[in-house]
Amino acid sequence: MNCKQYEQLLWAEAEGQLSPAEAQALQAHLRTCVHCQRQREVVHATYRALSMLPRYRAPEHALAQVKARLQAPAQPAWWQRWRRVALAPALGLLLALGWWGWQQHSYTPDTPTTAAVNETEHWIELHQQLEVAEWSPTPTPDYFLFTGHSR
Amino acid sequence: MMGCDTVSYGGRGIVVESISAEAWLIQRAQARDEAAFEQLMRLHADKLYNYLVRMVGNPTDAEDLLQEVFLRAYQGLPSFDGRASLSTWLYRIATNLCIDHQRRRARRVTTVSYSAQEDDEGEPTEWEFADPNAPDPLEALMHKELQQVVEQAIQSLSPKLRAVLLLYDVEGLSYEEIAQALRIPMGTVKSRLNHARTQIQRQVEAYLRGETK
Repeated sequence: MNCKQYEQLLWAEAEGQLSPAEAQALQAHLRTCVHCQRQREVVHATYRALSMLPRYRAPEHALAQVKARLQAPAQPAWWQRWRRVALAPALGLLLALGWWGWQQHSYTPDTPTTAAVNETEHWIELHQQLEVAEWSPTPTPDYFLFTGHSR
Repeated sequence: MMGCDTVSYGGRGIVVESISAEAWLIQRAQARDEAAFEQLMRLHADKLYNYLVRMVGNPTDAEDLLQEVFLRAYQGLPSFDGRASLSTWLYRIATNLCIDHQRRRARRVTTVSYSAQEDDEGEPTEWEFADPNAPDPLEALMHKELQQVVEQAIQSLSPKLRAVLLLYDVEGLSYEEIAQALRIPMGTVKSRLNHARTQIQRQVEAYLRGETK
């Protein structure tokens, strides 16, 4: 037997499950193997820690909640069976309604608003002034007289 | 535990005189007797909760899962044939729920770090401390530290290894009962136990050598 196999026996020893022959063989090995002596301490410490881990207790209210859920009126069997089937069309309808609502919200009419018209006219007028200015880089007094523009 | 003439369940004042008493409770619960089912819940709640807390790593999720175990047990009880013990059957339901829970948690990719041993204020909660039989305070402190090392080592195991280790070394099930609960061959139980123990052993060894806290 090698050290790895003796390590298995160390766990069995910690559990108190060694046969007399195995115990004798292990003791003989431990007398000559420092590595397995150290492993023996580790295995026994691990086994002790595992077997003495503190135990949790189930919270009383968890059991009370189970009891309450058991006593709650059960949903009809047909609903249990069909609720998933019914869920898909319902979701589809919701999505369609949502899309329609969004379309309505983001709809823009063809006719521009009064403010938009005013602004457009303003830019056209400005553009015209600039064109005139380009054609007449040095406006004469006649320009101001005929166009009505002022300096 | 099966085969005993008298089975006592402490802590909640419930004493089941024999295994046949549990069988009677099961029969009543199968006939939708909620009082009988409540008795069964009380008999198995602490063991299951203790297992669940260490399987999922925190008491809050364990509490939700405990409720789910009992609800599923109640639904499935009419088809419970008694080939395995009720305890083994409940551990099977609990383990399956833990694996589902683990998958969901992995999908969410949460990075919440939670210590199974401490509440928000850093104090141990819901513990029933075992007597370490160590009158020396220093020894008691080392024992507590060692337990923390072991708790952390348990959490670092894969769920498959963790389940086997907890069922065998903490809950005290036999190889056969674990094989039934997890629906795996007995050889696999032994092999997983061996792997799990080796991993725990390594971390304990590192602690004892002073390589970790």
